[in-house]
Amino acid sequence: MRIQAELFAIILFSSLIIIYLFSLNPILPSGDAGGLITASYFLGIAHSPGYPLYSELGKLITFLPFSNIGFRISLLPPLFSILSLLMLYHIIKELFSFNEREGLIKKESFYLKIFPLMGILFLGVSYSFYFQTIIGKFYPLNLFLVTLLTFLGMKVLKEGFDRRYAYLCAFLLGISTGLHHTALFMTLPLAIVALFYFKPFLRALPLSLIFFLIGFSINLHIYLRNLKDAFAVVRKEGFALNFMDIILRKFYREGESLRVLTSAFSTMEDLLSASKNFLYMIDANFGYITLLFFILGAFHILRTKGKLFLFLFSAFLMFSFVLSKLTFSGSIEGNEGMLYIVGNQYFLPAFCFYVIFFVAGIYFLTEKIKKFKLLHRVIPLLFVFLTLIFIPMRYTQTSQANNWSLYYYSKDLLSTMPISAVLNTYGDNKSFDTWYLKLVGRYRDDVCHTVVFRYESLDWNLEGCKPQKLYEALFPEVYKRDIIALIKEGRYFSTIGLNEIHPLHEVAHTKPYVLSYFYILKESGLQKEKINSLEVVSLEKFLTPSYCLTHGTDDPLTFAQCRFVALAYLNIASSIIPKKPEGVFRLDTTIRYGSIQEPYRVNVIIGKENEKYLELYERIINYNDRRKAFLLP
Amino acid sequence: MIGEKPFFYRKYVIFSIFFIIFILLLLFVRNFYYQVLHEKEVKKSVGLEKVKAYERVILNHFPLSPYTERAVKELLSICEGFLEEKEKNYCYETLRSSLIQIRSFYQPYEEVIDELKPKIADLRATLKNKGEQGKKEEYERIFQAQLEILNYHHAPSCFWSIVTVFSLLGWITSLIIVIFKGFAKPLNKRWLAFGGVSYLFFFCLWLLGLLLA
Repeated sequence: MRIQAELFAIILFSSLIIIYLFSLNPILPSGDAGGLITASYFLGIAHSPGYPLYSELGKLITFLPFSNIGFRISLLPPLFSILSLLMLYHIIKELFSFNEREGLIKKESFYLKIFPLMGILFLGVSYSFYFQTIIGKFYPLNLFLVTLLTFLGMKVLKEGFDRRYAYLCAFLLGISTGLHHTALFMTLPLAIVALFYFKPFLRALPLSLIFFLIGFSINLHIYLRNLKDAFAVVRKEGFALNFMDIILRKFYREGESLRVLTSAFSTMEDLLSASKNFLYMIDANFGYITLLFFILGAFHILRTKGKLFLFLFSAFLMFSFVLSKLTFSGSIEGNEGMLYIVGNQYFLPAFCFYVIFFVAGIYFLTEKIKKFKLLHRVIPLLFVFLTLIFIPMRYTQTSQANNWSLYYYSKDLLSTMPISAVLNTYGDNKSFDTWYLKLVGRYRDDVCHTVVFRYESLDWNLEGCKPQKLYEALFPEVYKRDIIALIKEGRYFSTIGLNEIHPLHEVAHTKPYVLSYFYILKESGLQKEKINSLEVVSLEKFLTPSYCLTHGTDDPLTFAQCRFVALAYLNIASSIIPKKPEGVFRLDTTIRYGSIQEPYRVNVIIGKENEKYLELYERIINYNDRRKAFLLP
Repeated sequence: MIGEKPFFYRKYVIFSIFFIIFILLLLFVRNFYYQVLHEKEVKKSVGLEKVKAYERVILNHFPLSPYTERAVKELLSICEGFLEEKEKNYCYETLRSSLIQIRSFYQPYEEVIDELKPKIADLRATLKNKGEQGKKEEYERIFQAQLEILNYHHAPSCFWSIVTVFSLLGWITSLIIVIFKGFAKPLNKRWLAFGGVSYLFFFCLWLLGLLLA
């Protein structure tokens, strides 16, 4: 039985590794992954809080001589997903070893083998876990640290207090500040464990604090690399980057770490909606039916191992309802931003704890039907094999293996730029991915790429125009911040189409230019010569629409990007005046950037010359229907 | 209690070695599969689509891959064949960028990248100069400026990057050694001193690496 179970474990882990590896994005995933990849390559500073641990591990993996730099850095999440699953395997094993110690089950029994495997399968094929594994972000690494801390907490509860565990936990908590700060939520459950060993813990506290600070020193990466003027996502020209501002996420204003913590608990009004949202995520990942086993599991652990229950349940509460209250209390109805940027990312540790209780619940159930020997044996195996069904399902629904859309969007955006143009972008997808192409891939480095972090801002991030000594000769206006001169020269392109809140709205209007907008000064007339020389139709060959029709993923950020590609075809179609008009296609809509809405109006005179572009527009829009995103209610 | 058994068991070391070999093998199989797949797409494509298909072959590179070599050779000849400057520039830029993106601790096909730089600078200057009424001095100025940009290497130093990331792993490991070996009961001063010194060494090296990379 032991060899069979171990063989099954090896096959299971190997299968998950293969599935994850073959589901990975081939080069450039959506969202902030592009920024993380670029920051890693330059040993730089990613978006707040900087993620130095991810940047350095990412840099390490770029030395692997396979594939491209984007893909290599995307290997980190599956690696840490597997390690997290391995830790979960040990956590569940440890959970049952409490029973073993208490004589409830025999050593090396069937339970010790099959239940940990059930746990890794349940988590490993859950939607959010799979999604985060294949999309090049740091959440699996964060989960790994959380599972490691959980394992250490359980060790203390099982074996008694050892100062080394306290020191290691403190050190790991310190290190976790070099990543997503949510791992710090483990402080409370660990403090509960410490209360059980109050006196020895107090003696270990001073050195633990020192080890925490040593771990925290990983953030010196941010300070030193900033001194070196290395790539930094949040740098703005003319503003000095402050080390503590990055760590405390002051960049996000309302999302600043301390403000989130203090404001969230000033009122309990939205606790109900936050809880509902979290339960929705549980349903999407595991189904409501599993709640029954979760409750049974919690009851079982509470009854048999009270201290362990307190530790695990407090950890679950911190990562589920408390985190929900802080970040996930808004409406999720039709809000893919809330669902995918918060719900689908932040709750991996909560799902992990949920699975622990769930597995304990199934164990409890099987114990209750012990006298029915066949059922007693078959039920756990049934749960294992039923879960296997989700592997092909996840692959066909969410896999990123053929998702070149983001890469080609950015490449096509740069390809359509005239030589020595200034391209301004706004939004994670457009900015981060263009940085990757321009800075890591050195594609079209004749273009000066500026980035704004707020729609209405004119404070540029100039990472895409570095080094200044080389670019200044070609783009003196950029360094003088003379945007009007750039517009006058007809060199200024932006992905922002201008609405009334934008400061340039008064002085300029825009003309759709394939994937961006060309800016024209209102006072200087239409600059007809410049507009005519844009030759929008001739740029169509630089676009790559095929990947917006075959990417095979349900990632809403990919959908959003592809819808911009669809609009590019409308822009091209509208620039053609057919000889024999057959009708008119009008689109009067708004493009949404969070709470900001930008008008988009186009008038296409339909004819033989442009009907293929309209057809492509429709096909891309239909293929990238946001309702296809699995998490959308 | 911990410390009675070594923290890292031998079986974990063996397991890790097998794990790494397994991953490398999988990466090889994956990249081989995708290179074959994208090469098949080349046959079905024309014009710039062909360039993009070869680009994807290169981006799925593995060491000593004959597919990458063939893709680079073919792309060079395809690029030469484009008559329109914008298309030719797109092709050269694509080839250069895809090769740069497969850079690891060494740059494969560095000689090809070097060969492409003046060609790209020339095309950029020509295309830009068309709008500037074709003055020869202007062409020369833009050509030199573009060549300077193309020659500029802005990635952090490979050597100091390797020093930095391995030093980070070094000081984290040293700290774990200090905790588990040094703070055993009774205090093991030998491990404490060894771990402490190696921590300081790696930590200083890490700081140095961050400043020099």
